[in-house]
Amino acid sequence: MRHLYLLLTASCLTILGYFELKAADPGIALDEIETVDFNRHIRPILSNNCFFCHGPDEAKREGDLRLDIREDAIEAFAFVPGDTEDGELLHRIFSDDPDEVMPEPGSNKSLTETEKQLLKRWIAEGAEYESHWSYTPVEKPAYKSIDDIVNNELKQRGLSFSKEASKETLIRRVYLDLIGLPPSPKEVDVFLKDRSSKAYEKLVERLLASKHYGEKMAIPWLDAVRYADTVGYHGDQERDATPYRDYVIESFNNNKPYDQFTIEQIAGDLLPNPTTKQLVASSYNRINQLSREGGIQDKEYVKKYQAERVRTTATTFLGSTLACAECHDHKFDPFTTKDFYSMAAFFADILEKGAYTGDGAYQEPIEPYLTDSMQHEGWFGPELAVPNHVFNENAEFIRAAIRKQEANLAKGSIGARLEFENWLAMQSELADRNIPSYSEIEYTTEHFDKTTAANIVLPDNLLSLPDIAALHFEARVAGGGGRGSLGLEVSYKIDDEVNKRAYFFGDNFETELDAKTDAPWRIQVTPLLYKGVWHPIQLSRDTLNLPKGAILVSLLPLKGNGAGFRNFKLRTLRNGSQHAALSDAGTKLLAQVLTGNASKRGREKLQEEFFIYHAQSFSNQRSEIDALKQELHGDRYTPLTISATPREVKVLPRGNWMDESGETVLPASPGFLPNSIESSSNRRLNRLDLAHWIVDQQNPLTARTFVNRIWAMYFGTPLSSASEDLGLQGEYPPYPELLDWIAADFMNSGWDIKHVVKTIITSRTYKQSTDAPDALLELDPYNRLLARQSPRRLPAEVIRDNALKIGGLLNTKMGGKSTRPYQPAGYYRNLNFPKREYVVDTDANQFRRGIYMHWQRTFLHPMLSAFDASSRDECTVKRDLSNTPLQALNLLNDPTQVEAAKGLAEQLMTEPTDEARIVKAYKRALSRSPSPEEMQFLKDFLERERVRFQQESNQANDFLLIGLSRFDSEYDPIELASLASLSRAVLNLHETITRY
Amino acid sequence: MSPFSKYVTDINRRTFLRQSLSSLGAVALGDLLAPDSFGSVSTEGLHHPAKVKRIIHLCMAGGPSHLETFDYKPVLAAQHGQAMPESVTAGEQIAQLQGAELKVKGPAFKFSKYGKSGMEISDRFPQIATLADEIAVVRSMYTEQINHDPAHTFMNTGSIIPGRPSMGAWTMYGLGSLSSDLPGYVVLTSQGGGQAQPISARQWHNGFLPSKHQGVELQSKGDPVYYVGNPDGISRESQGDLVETINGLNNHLASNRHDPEIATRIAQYELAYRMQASVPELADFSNEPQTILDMYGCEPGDGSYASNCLMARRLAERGVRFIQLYHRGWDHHGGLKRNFETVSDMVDKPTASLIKDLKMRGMLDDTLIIWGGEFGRTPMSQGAGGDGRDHHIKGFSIFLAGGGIKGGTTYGSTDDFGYNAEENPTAVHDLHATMLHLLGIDHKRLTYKFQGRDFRLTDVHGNLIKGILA
Repeated sequence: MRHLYLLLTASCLTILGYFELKAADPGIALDEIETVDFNRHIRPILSNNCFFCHGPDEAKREGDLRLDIREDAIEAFAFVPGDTEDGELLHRIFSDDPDEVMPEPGSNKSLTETEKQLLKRWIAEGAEYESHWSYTPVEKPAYKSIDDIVNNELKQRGLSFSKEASKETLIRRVYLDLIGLPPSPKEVDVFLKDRSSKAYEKLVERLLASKHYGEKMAIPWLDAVRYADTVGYHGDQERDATPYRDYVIESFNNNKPYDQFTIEQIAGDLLPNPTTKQLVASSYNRINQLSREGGIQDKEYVKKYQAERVRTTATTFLGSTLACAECHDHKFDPFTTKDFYSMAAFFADILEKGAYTGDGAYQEPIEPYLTDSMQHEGWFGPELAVPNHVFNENAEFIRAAIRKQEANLAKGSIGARLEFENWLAMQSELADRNIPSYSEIEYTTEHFDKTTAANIVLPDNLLSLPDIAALHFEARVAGGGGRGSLGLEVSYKIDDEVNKRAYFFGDNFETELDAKTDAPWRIQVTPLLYKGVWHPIQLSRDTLNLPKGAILVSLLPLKGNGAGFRNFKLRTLRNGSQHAALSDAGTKLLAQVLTGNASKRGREKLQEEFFIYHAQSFSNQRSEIDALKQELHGDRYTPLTISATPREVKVLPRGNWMDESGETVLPASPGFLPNSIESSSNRRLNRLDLAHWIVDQQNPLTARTFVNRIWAMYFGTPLSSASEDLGLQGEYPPYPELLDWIAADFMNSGWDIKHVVKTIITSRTYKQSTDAPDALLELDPYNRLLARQSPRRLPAEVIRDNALKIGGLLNTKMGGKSTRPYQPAGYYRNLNFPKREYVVDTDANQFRRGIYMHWQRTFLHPMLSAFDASSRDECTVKRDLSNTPLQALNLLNDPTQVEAAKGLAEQLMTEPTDEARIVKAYKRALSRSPSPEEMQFLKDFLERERVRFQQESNQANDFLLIGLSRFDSEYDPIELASLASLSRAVLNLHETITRY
Repeated sequence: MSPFSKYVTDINRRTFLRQSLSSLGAVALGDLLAPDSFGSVSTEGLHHPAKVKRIIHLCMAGGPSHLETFDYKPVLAAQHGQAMPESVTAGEQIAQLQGAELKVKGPAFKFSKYGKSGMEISDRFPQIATLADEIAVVRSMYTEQINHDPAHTFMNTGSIIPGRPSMGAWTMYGLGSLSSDLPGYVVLTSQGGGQAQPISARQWHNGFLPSKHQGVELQSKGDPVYYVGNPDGISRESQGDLVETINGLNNHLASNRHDPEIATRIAQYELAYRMQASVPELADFSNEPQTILDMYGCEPGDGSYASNCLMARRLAERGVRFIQLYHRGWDHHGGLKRNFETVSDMVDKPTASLIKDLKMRGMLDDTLIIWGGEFGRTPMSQGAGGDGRDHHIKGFSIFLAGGGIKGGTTYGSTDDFGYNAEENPTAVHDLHATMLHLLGIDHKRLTYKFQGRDFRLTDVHGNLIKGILA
């Protein structure tokens, strides 16, 4: 009997353990099943074997029989409830006649004897149907707690909870599960010493309040909503959406209720007076894959994006495979093709192109929608500029740092004082010569619409170079085809000879602008220009770097594809320096100083301003301050969802985008689900209606879908094992009451995510040990009964974070632009349009958490890829947990891992003995002490490494040079290298990358 | 280490038992094997006896023109420069020629007849032409996607939705690898002879299949496999000691923890360490005689298609199951004549040499070679001077060679303009079905449950291309 059931559930691995126990265990005969339960026993048989031809899909339906609706089946005489003699179904399934038997011999499907008997008994017992479990409203079962439900089931089976995991195991588990970082040895000690009954709960509370909680929660969410740094299709160009990622992290940290979280993402832009953050949230709609491949059809890609949004929304929020209804009615669930396109129609208002090439078109002109100065048209449609401080967790800290550093500069230095005196003398001389602060250059808007730019001839009376501080202007790239680059060719005269230099802004000037200038000197000024944004650019005298005695003659704007310049002006050194102009107050003070009317304090204030903003002596410090200011006030960008006139959405026969014959549909929710909504002739529903429908408490899928995935974060397997499908072909959960209890509790709490997490994490079920007697392992290999915890390998990002934390290298800064840790050279060589070099971060960003890593969809970082992170082309709600040699190679040889090992080695150097060193390494990595055997093993290895490095001491130096971080030069390189080897062993342990 | 080894064996057995039980329905050998993800052997085929053990897919990325390779069209030559008949193009999907005037473009090169069958092959393929009696040309392929990225996705996965498993991953899932110290699915890329369209790792992704089945890209420069080289300053001896230490400690852990993954982890570290030797050995061409290097026409490791072809043979010898070579250089919207000459020079000789070399070693009989792009090119000209062709999906050519293939076959045809596949239209799903068939797999029975459905490489389609089978 076991095998019979195995065949039934063959490819659904996780269901196996359950069925073995529940129905098909050799010890439990068919007659031990008290009552045949439709959802548990019958629906899987019908769904797997019959619904394909006798189910919801009208086009595929055979013999006008549908078995998924009881009344229809009875009417068609498929069965007579309570009567096992009559009825076609039993006759057919028990038939030996190949012309009669069902399933048809050619269908690759067959019923086992047990299945046939079950169907027979079910009909004998009245052939009652039940609504599919996930389509019935969530009701809270009458249990007190998670543990109550599990305990009740275990008791019935003569089982009981496993013992609680040790405190060391528990604290490491709860750290890794909740914040994705290991506890420090000190944190472990504090917890071990805390004997109070509330110790564990306090720990959980503290971790839920940690800002790292949101980073951990965001990992699966970003998989689901397919968040990445690049557009995915073809050239896989970059497009910034990092503010959206920060929104997700912040929302989890602030415990934004899930209903609000959902509404903001699907329809944040439609809320009354949306905040910047709500607009950022609605990037959800536009972080799908996009294409600017030459020759693609606009309309085809509009349809691709449309279908993808339905897939992502249905899977993420509803756990539904509505995607299957794109070309035909769903084979198993009651979704119709019309449901698919009616769902798509909710998103038809999104202002977008299909092809982000010259050929693509918005459904209506974009300009009237760009009313806010923070909104513009980017390379991939509308974008929102988001000042960094909006999501900066450390804004106050940074402001304080800026104030402190400026106060330091204000104190001055001997050199700076000397500079100040010289500067005053120069200012006096400039004033005597009546040099103005600015010289305007005539350059009007009509110039930037021309495709070929004309030389801007500078007036003869223009200032000579020694007086020029900087050239200021604004530049913008626009147009469809090319990439963002602009240039400015500067002609200057020296000894009556005219020379040229060209300055480029953007990152692709060679191909686009080469032909437009013959200037021999080319200087690249800014690396990136955002399409549609007026970028203020300042070319200071140092950047211009023209020879002494040069006189400016003319400026030639070099433009690709309708780009523009405006507001040219020359700023002189009068009332400022090449770095900046003086403040208004400073200008007044300077005048007073020059005329001898300044007070002592006034002169001091001018001097302070000079030190902070102008003194060359402090240029290094100033660039540090500038970087901090950029971190606060610089902009990032995110795809903007603009609601425009909706495109017409038609049902596409067989999903064919070229077939215009289908009916036009309006937004509506799938009709069979409770409280369904549809547009009427006087009101077209919109995304806000969709979002409200999703988070309606009557929606049976929303809460179940989310808590099912939350459960997986803490137990490995979701309660219903296929997170992507709670429909008929998904798994009937072994603990349906448990899923419903948590889902109901979630909604009752006001969609309080931290409440659900805390409820799970503080349950006895969660706190169990992963160890179990062999009998239990044999009985329930996949731990579906929850009589223990399951060990689980860490997610890709956390493997990185864990190693860096253990090595003492982790930079816990949050948010901001994506980071670029070490990556093998040439990894992007197969990319084109444009070609790309990955530029590794050489600052503290190298040591940031994995969640912030640059996510290149077509070539995901090989470490992330090896550890099963999703490339996020599409919505992903479950990651594989593979165990491969490529993982071993990564942990052994990736510079990130080697550098973390060096970091750990440095921590060990201060310990007095090898024993103490090994104990410390274990405590940092595993939150426990080594056993005597482990200690001996590692001591021996360490000794062998010492001998090897002593014999080849230059190897120790080579080894220690890996990575950016440099070790204390006091340390003996041989000893440090040997300890780094030891640390590599520890970081590579299976236990280090596993949470028990 | 010994006190723990018995326990580990025990766990191994148990893990294996569990995995085999759970896979009974799917009966996919690649998934049965445990704990070592690369090391399973099936030469028998999954559903019926296999004709071939391995696939070498020579992917001509960018879309080679069928009209300059295997599909000679005198009508095009006769009507060169004239307007393309509207009856042929009306209502058809067009890529970059949208809105342009459509003019007939005659073949840029001469064709001749080769072999006993008189197969028509372009003069640009003199070496491949000598193998006319070995290869089977399918002149009636069609596909569903007219742009590079989705067309590659369709060619590899049979679906236009990103994220589905590639044919290599399906093969691995079905059969596993024949190598115990190399990945079973390996991808190499080269470029030259036209603009290099980007290629995504999506093309060799496992999709929803277990990630151990994904293709591993092999580099011609740097570490051939990412992270296969020791860190600077670490000798092989030291690395070996490290791996032994790690495994010793993991063994110790296995005695305390009920975690079957530990045994797998230990096996993977052993395999990784073996790969650290086998991969450099694989990439070291120094034992290849000069005659072989000359035959392929490559400098070892120069990253050329020729070098990759030689590597393909070395991979085949070492038991790699699925080998994909992408040559990015076939997207000839303009400057077709010159670019085609360049790229055919790069591709003709090494392709022919690979086939001959395999034959010489008795390996052609159990290898299936597939040569072709993601689509073909328009009979209409494109661009300045009309010296280009746009993407075309309604009819194009590929060729196959090796075990189970009837050499000297020209199968199917397109219409007089080389536009629509006319006789024996052949879908990408048909190619997939045939490929799996030769591997001993019934494409209808190789399934994986995802999103509540039993997915197949061929979806609900796929017919064997019987006319090319021996």
